[in-house]
Amino acid sequence: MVKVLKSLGVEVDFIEEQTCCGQPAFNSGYQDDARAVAERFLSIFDKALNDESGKDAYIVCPSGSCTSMVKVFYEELFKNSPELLNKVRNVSQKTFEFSEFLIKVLNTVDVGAGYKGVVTYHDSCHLLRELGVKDGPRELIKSVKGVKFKEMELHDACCGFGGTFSIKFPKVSVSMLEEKIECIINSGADTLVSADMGCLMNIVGALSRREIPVKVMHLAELLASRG
Amino acid sequence: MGFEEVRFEQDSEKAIHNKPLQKALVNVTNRFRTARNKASEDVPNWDNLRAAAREIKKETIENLDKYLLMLEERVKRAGGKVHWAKDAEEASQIIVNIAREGNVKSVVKSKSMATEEIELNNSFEDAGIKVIETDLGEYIIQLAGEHPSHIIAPAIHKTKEDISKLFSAKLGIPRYDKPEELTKVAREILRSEFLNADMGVSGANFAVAETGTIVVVENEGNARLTTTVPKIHVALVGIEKLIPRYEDLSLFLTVLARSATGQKSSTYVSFITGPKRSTDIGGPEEFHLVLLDNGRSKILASEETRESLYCIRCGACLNNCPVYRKVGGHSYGWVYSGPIGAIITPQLMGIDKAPELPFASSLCGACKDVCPVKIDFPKILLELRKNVVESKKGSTGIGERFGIRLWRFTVEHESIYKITNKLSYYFQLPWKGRNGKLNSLPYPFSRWTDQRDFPAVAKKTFRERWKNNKGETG
Amino acid sequence: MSNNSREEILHTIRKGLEGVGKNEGKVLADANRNFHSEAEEVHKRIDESQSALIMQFADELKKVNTNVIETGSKNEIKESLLGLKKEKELKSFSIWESQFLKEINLKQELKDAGLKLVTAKNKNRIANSDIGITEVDYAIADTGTLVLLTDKNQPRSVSLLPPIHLAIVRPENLVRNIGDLFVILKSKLENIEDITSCMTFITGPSRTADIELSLTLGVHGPKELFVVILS
Repeated sequence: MVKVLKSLGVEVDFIEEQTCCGQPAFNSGYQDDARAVAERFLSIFDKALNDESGKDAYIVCPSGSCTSMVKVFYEELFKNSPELLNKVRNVSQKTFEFSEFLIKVLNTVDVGAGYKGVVTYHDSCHLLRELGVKDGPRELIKSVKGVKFKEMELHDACCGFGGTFSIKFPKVSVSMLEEKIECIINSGADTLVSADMGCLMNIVGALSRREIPVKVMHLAELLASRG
Repeated sequence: MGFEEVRFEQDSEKAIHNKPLQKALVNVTNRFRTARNKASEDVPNWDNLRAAAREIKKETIENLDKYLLMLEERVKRAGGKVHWAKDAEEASQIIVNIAREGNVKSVVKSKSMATEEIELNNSFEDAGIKVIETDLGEYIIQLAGEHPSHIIAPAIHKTKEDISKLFSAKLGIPRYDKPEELTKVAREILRSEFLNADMGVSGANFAVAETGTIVVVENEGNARLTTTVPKIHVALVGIEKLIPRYEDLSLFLTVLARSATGQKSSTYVSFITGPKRSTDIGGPEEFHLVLLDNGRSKILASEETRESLYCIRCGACLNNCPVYRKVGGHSYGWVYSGPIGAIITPQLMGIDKAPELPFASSLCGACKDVCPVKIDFPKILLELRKNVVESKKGSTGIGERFGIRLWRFTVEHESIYKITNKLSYYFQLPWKGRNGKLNSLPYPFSRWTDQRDFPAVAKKTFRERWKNNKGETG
Repeated sequence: MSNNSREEILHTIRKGLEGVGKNEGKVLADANRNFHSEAEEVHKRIDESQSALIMQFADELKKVNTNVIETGSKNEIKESLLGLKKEKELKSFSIWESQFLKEINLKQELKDAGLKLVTAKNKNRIANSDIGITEVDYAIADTGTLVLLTDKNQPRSVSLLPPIHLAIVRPENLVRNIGDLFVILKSKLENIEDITSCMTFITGPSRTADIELSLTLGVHGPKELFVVILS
């Protein structure tokens, strides 16, 4: 992601103190713990934005679920803390998922990437339904030289990750995952691309266990390819 | 069949290994999902209709006391009687009493989730009153002694062969294999039940406060028969089924059929206001409306989950749920299944009876996308998860709590986070497999690695790479 | 005791709604809607598109497995019924005593043709009659739906118990969609007490897909639906 952004002339910084947005706890019902962690996230990034206040500063994230935590669920999490809502708004307005940043902020679809392969794309749930991102990643993929794009069946069906869901109900999770794997294989693609680490871990976990030779990569990896 | 504790993990595992069930689930969800998609695309302002329907439900629920009183008054004016039942037991009692007072020997029932919720059939049987389900799917599962597995198609988990064997065994008839033949058998048997029954019990999809009208939507005609032929008609209606005005029905009927089965209109809709008029020929002489609370007023009190009551029981959420399509209705342990079951069962039965259910979802949000009244399922599930954790029940054992504490400590202290990251490269080595991934991990992470590999932590962390050459892959 | 439950339930609801910004004015207030003038508008639109509506209605009926008989005159109605009698070997019928059917004297014509009249007063007998004949109060064009209101001349059982239901639809019955219908119904509902005990929408013959999702017609309601459109 850093490579792609830099190649487009963006000055990239990584704040070392950052750790987590708090979503794992939030999704598991531990809202107080989530709030504490989220507050830390807010302070770090609010400060970072303020430090760059003269410039066009943004927070870019290679994950639909973390981004939606910040942009959608922080408002809910901090609804009883009016003193923090300013920070919440400041940070969430400037936070973008990677593909959205490329398309909406940088107005770029072709990043000059090259990759030979038949690619299919999995819509991760938060990215699609909470952030409404659907066409952008597809346009980015199709602009990569050498890529043949194949839409798979049930491309917007959940892969079964769901955070702790994958461990709480592993049989159900794997059953959903198997449906996804079948769709990937049936699409004829040799490469699966998605924009969320959770989905990717889950999908590649099954593909490698079953020794299915489909390559799996994050959208950013595809866009950084020069092959 | 009584309510048992919800055992989602156990029951879902059984369901996943049940091949015929898996086939049936894929069939029914694909069919209804495709039909709903087409039916909604045909309507140019579909999303506006959903928003409008939600607004009307919100208005109703937020003024429910007023609308209930209005409904009561109008039903009475039309010659009907109104009863209020605070819980399942009371509702059953009221209905059995109506039957006793009317010297009822046999009852015909049309499809009503609410009557299953209160286990009405058991109460009739205990009172020595014969009760027959007349909706074909419900008739099938009544014969089989089971709960419905889908809100719209209750017997979808049964194959033709299952049903053929069932009919033959229970009805003492030869084995028929074609659906038309089986349907014909049901029609004949049930027709004589309709004509001889003393009382008909129905539910209602909507109750219109302004006119005192209850609305029953169906395809088979058994609800029309149930509410027309016997001399007593009892309608059991959840208090959340109200809508304010007569004309609101045009919106709700438009979204209901399309969301449920993809039809532009269900075959029959009956709009019933009170008993027969003195000048009518035929029709029930008595009409009883039984209003059911059974926990709904409690849900109403919770601002975050109040919209659970907007549900019009169309089943679209089930048909679009990737979890439901793998586990089927019985995994949810009660009469309501899928996403709507996951949110109302814990609220109606108590979170201690169903602590797994709020977690039995990957929070994908497909349900929210198709709900005709735009219920925000993920938001409600998250709220219920918080409630489960706060009540210290079920899946949140001491282990999980400790895990979260540990996680929190780690992510609140960057130095600990960095060290953990770095050290895990070495700690993971015993579990690293030949393919360079983690093939097995200790419990609880074994629940991942039983069927999936887990990515190995890289030797060089991103932070180290960033320091060296600003994060670019080296 | 039910009375206590009533108070308890209302109390719990009121308590639960404390602090909710109630739109007091909104309770039952689409009193801003003037259904009389809306109904006038609706009738105008319907009149403007009547022949298109008839065509749309016939199309939609066919989509839901309804047999459509288009007739150009009142005589043809009787002819088509006699044709049906022959085809289906009908012996008996039940019928509404409603205005239009009386006007064309259909009951007598059918009796004269040898069909036995069955009264709706006896539910067993009417269940055993071969065909139930009604007209309609309204017909919804965009869904192919018949709208039947119950009253002293229009018993519910005629369109329900016999295995065949035949309904006669005239152009003036047609409305474009369900929205139109409710505007018209509302405009006619001066006193809520005058509302019918039962209004029924009928869209096609009885059906189910409860057995392995295979569509079967004629479960409990009529197996066949015929609509005679007088155009």
